[in-house]
Amino acid sequence: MNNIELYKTAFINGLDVEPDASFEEMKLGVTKEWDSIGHMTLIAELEDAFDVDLDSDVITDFNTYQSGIDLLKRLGVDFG
Amino acid sequence: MKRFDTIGQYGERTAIYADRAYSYDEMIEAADAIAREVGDRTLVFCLCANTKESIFGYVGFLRGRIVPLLLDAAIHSEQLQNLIDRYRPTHIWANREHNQLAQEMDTTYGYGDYALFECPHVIEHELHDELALLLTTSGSTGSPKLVRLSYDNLFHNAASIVSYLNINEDDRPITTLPMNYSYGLSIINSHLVSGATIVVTEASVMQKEFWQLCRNQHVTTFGGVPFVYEMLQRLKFETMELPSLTKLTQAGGKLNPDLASAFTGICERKGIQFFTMYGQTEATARMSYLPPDQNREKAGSIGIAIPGGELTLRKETGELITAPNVVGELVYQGANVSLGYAEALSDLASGDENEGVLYTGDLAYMDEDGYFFIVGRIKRMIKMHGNRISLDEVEDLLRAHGHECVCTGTDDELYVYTLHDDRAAIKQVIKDMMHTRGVTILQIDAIPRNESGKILYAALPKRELVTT
Repeated sequence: MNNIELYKTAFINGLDVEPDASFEEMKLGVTKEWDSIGHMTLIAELEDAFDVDLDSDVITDFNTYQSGIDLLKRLGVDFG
Repeated sequence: MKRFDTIGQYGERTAIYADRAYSYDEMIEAADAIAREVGDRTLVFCLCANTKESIFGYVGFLRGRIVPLLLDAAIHSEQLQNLIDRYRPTHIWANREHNQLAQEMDTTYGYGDYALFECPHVIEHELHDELALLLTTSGSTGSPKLVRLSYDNLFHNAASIVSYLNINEDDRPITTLPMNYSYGLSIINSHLVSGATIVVTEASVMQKEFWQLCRNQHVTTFGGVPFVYEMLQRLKFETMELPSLTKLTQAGGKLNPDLASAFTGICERKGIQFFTMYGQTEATARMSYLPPDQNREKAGSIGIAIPGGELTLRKETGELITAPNVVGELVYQGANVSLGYAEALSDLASGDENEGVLYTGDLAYMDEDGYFFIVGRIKRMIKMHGNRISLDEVEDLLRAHGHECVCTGTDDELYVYTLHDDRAAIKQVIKDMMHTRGVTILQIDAIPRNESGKILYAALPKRELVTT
């Protein structure tokens, strides 16, 4: 699985959404499944998937599908 | 201080901060205009989010003696329709772009993002004189069972809370809980009657905007259910610089002992008072609190009764327990005990059925110093992320969707058992109504029952045991 697939899988498992969901449009607090409870699970899924530690700044900055990719890139995750 | 009729005294002081400051005068003007549009004492629904519009509507309805049922703005459309059909509100105060309502109803008046939707086929409600407000008993199963609260209930409880939390006009709470949830509403009530400033935001502690607001608006306090404290721990709350914060409150379920002890320490180091509290919607909101200087000594305790209230313990026979360390049902007595429940329109005319006494359904004991400790629950209730859920209601809900299931669980862990191969469909029904986090759906061969056919919940497996 490449990193973008790993990233999507974290959303599918963390937010409990379908594999054909519109990932690019997802927003914290807007997408029904992505509220603070979902966010906690999603963070844990991402930490496992990419073997990284997400600190408070990353957790509170991360609020869209794209912003998560940007934040992970900064932590050295290669999205190609 | 009934019905917010004296908050006008705070005049130019800021009542609400929501992108800008709104004074008490401005809030009252907006609130009363909404209520004037409704007119007479009728029943309305107020779809709540943490916005100025929701709060102003609520304040206006109480001041105007209009009875609102407070609901989550994100309520499932099927559940909303069921409640409309059952209780026949004359108006619904909601976001003007609410899909379902905008299709079916006309609006008469607007303020900000909200509008007053007029319901067709208006009926004349028979409302008991003391009835002020209706809250739901369960956040998510869509049960139409409501708690009836009086003006006395609301403002007695607010006054007690103001007294033990020592709330004054310099306090600046920020919203962290839904206002249609009794704990969230109690924070709004107790601060408005004190002339304080409420910082209103829909952002959660998981969002940067929330913490920016805390700093820029010099927030002094907020409340949280156990899950909020789990998030705060995850965010390394102890490292955050929040110099204006002086008071944290926790209710809505028991904090796990490690987390409670961690926050006791963190708050001591930061000079923050940390209050653990206990309550139920049936008692408006609060029934007890643990004074912060007892956090270590009495860890795990729900504390003592709030000012004006009394906690006692009763045996199954109804007999009073006076000896320490004997478990019985926790009974609360006070002016904040609700009038009763409503399950149908006709119940809104009923008077006070509880007469100030609430059998909480919680099992507790009292120690030698008079502090109470909860050890279990008589009713088949659990809390999921702070929301109370009746296991029987989850079973009813699933049955209504064609799934015969048995439910059990503890706080934040719900187990659903089915005899059929329908777990995916069950999961979908649950997902529509509530969070699936903490929900385990298991297929089993048979439901364990005793000789008289009663389900043996304790004998249900906690993992898959299908032998087919």
